[in-house]
Amino acid sequence: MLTKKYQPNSLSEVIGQELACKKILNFYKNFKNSRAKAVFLSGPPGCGKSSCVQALASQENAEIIEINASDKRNKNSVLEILEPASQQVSLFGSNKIIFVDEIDALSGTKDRGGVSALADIIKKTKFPVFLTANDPWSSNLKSIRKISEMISMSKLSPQQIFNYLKKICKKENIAYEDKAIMKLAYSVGGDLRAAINDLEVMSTKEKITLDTLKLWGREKDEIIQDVLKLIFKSRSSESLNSAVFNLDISAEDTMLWVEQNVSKEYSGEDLLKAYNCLSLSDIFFSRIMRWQHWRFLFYASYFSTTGVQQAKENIKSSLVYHTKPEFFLNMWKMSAKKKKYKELAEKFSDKLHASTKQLQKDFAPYLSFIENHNKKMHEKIMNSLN
Amino acid sequence: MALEIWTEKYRPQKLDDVKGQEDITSRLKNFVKSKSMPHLLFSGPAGVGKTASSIAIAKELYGDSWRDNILELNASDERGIDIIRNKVKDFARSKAIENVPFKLIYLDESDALTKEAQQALRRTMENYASNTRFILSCNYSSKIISPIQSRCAVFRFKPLPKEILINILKKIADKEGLKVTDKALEFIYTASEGDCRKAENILQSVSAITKDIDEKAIEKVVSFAEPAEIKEVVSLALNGNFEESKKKLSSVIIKHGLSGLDAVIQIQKQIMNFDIDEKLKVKLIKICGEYEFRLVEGSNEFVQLNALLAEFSMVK
Repeated sequence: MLTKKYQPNSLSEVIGQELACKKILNFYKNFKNSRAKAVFLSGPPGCGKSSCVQALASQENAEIIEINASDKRNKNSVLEILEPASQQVSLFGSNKIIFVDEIDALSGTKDRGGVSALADIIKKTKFPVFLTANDPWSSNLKSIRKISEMISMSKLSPQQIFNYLKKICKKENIAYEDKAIMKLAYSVGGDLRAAINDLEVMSTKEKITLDTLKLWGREKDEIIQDVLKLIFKSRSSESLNSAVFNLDISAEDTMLWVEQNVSKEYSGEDLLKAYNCLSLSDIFFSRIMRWQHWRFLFYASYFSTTGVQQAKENIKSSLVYHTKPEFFLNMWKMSAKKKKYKELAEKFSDKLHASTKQLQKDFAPYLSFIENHNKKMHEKIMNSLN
Repeated sequence: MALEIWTEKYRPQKLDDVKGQEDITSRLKNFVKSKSMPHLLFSGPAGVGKTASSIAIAKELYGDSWRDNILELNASDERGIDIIRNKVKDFARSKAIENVPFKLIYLDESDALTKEAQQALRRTMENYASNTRFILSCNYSSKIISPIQSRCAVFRFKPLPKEILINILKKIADKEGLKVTDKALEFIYTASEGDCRKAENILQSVSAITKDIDEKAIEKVVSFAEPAEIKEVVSLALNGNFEESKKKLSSVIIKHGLSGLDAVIQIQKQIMNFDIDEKLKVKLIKICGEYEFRLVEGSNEFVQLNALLAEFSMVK
């Protein structure tokens, strides 16, 4: 993953957060004399909150003790992990950083008591604590805000993202059009992680152009993100229905978004039930076209939203990063592949008396076997065909 | 320059060279001799001689100018009946060579046409009947509407018997200077499922790695050409690793350019070969059948296939 590969190793490598980095380093260096024992980093997704903490740790050679978003974070588990960690000196005598990511995702019921346990830990800790959240102002985090140094980080500018993406492209030998990268940088709404992720999925062998972007535009994602949260994290069909009503993407796209992310949120029986709803939904979409009966749209949409919402017994408490449906990318890759066969077929089909489909099934795999094992023979065959 | 693809290099030149379909070829020979024939409908599985017979007819009728007198179309590539109609119109404008009163139009995979398109095709066949003859080929004649069937002489090609297919392979092996063990030949026959085109392609591919051919060499080709990763996809799902199997499946589909149906068929075939409890096998095959149906009914292959994998990952 490119986002992992280009994780900053020191605070100076963090993009566009000079002021925050300065404050963070300052806090870390003067921790012993500091009144606040924790830093609370807040800012929109992909602005560099976690990266700052990781960069600090690697530059200062400190060990990170982390409760991440996928752990259970109720009172007991917070105390169990963090209490010893915040008191005892590390095994190798190195420095330690306590890191609690995405604390705004501490949910009311499952993580009961988690926030107050965390506040207790912060009061007593011997090591610096770092907290992150997209939204620091939710009311249940009040006790933590009071005892932490608040550092807010802002969105990255498109220009900053643009420059960084270009750097990655050069290092990764990704061919690109300036215009396309610029558009990508503008479209992610200041989210560098999203930008790098998008860059990665688009950087198949072909050059990244404006056309590639069209197939993969990250625009107006925010509303669908809310809908996904309602589907996966809540049980109220009423609020879901009104959110779906306001959605400005097609019902079919919504279904694809749900399908793309459902396995990150559900597992076991829940996942199975959800997939059954999605499968049914897809069938209704195709029935609309076959019978030209648009009333089916209701069922298609209902199964893929409310159906999936009601399929769950358990709600995963941690925040999940919902990604764009790969479907379009897959279709695009498929059509590129099919285009290749098509070209092959146009060239050879009257010589081989075979259709595209047959060429693809009956000839292509064997030709590529021969190409892999006997270059000379392959060349001879291709020459005779041309 | 002679083509180096063996399916072409060793393509039958005359109707007599088309093996295993003697009932059919003997009657076709009469058509050629009298230079008069009805429209023809060839049905039968892949690689048993439908295209080969058509080309042989053309060669015997028109000699060296056969290419100018046969129009090869295939219903799966020519998008829509209109394109077919236009091509037929252009082609039918000129006359065949002197002593043959008609030109040939070979429409492959004609069962890929919708019922409506077949109706249109029927009119086209009538309009140009004065100077063209159609040879339609299909896998299942039941998919061809009856008005077309009634206008054609229907020939049902049978799967090639084992000995005949193996004989064909032996002849090619001789000419190419290959040594092939009997077991290897049998293996090719099984792997090809009686499809001669496939069998010849397997043989040619093996010849790329060795001239002394045994089963092991064949195995190499077969496991390369058949999307073997499908096996892994199924195993991952059965072990409850849904996420990984889903990822793997979409990469296999893209790599091999499979359709959703292709994928389900492969999955089903792999399961048949799995060494697992038979009761479990029945459960899995039931799921396959259900999702093959849903794939036909539905529109999004990835959604249906992923749903199938989700079922697999919960099977106990």
